[in-house]
Amino acid sequence: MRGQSLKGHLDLLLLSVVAGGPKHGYAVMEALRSASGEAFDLPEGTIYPALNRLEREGLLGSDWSVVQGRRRRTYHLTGRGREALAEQRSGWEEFVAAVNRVVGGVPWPATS
Amino acid sequence: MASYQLIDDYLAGLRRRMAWRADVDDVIAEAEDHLRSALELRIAAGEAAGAAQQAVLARFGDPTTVATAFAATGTGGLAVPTRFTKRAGLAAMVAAGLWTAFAVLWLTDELAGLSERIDQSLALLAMASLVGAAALTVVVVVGLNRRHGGLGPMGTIGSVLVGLGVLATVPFWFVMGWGVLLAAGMLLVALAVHARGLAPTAATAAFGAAWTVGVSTWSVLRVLEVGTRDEWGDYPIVSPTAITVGVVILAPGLVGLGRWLSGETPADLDSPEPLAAA
Repeated sequence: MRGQSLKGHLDLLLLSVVAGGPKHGYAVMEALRSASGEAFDLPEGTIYPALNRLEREGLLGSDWSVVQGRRRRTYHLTGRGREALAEQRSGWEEFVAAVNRVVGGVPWPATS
Repeated sequence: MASYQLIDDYLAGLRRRMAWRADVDDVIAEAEDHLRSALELRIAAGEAAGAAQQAVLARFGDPTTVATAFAATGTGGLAVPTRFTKRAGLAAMVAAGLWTAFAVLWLTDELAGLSERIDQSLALLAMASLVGAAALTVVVVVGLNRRHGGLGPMGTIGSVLVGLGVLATVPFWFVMGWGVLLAAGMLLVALAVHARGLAPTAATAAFGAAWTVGVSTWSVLRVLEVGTRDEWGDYPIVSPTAITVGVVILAPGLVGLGRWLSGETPADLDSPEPLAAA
């Protein structure tokens, strides 16, 4: 799936992945890829600005540690992040349900 | 820690493109951890080091894409050089010239004993220089705000005062009016800029101090009643002298800030939408 399709949903996806437990950037990317059945494929480096922004907004927190001689930043969900995730999840479910009602109620055009 | 040349070169390139960020070390550390984590998994799975590095870097995205993604998500609240801040830097250097022209024209007008026609022409030119210089100074202040991702309450108050000072330059003879507004405004802006530690210190100090020194000089000369008293009870040499003192400090400050702002590589260069490049 092209990265453009993720625009607008990336925050929800990242918060959902981090909600499963603290993760560093590479682990976030791997979790995103594996949970989506490798459907989400974007330049991996571009998730860091999004993580960075979510941290600035107070939805994620981060801690630094040293692993195998290199610095590692691990992200975790904050209280505000949990609230935002619940809100975004509910908004997404409403959106999907509304789209399904429209799409599901219309007969598919016949193909010949 | 093993050295992998392609990864090292990539990180050096990314660092160059991200040098505008105060937290560039953290950004690079995070990218390095990502790349090496991915690389170790591939090498452990039996891939050759060269091919593994190329694959890891291809997945991470080219440095320009990554740097642009940071800029695209970060212009609200992040300290980012942009095409606007670059232009604000050029405006600062033009403003330095116009402030200098204003001081020279007014001082010449007062000292030279010119005919009335030339005197009026010089006064008009001086007024035009002042309005132009003041307007461009507002552009510089906006540029400084944007370059720092906002300057906080102190910088905002200072910016508003500078704006009011510029409006007050239209009746340009009211030197103490616009002088005090610009002095207070530019001092607050400079203090806010200095607190963020990105701009060159000497230029910031000159920018902040110029009109405070100019207004102080005006007050001292006025109290000492320097020069000849005119028919309105004024001392005509006081204002242009005080302005010249202010401009001698301000012009290098504007040039210094202008060189800094205009010399940076904008982070909002035209490039593919970061996420669209996937």
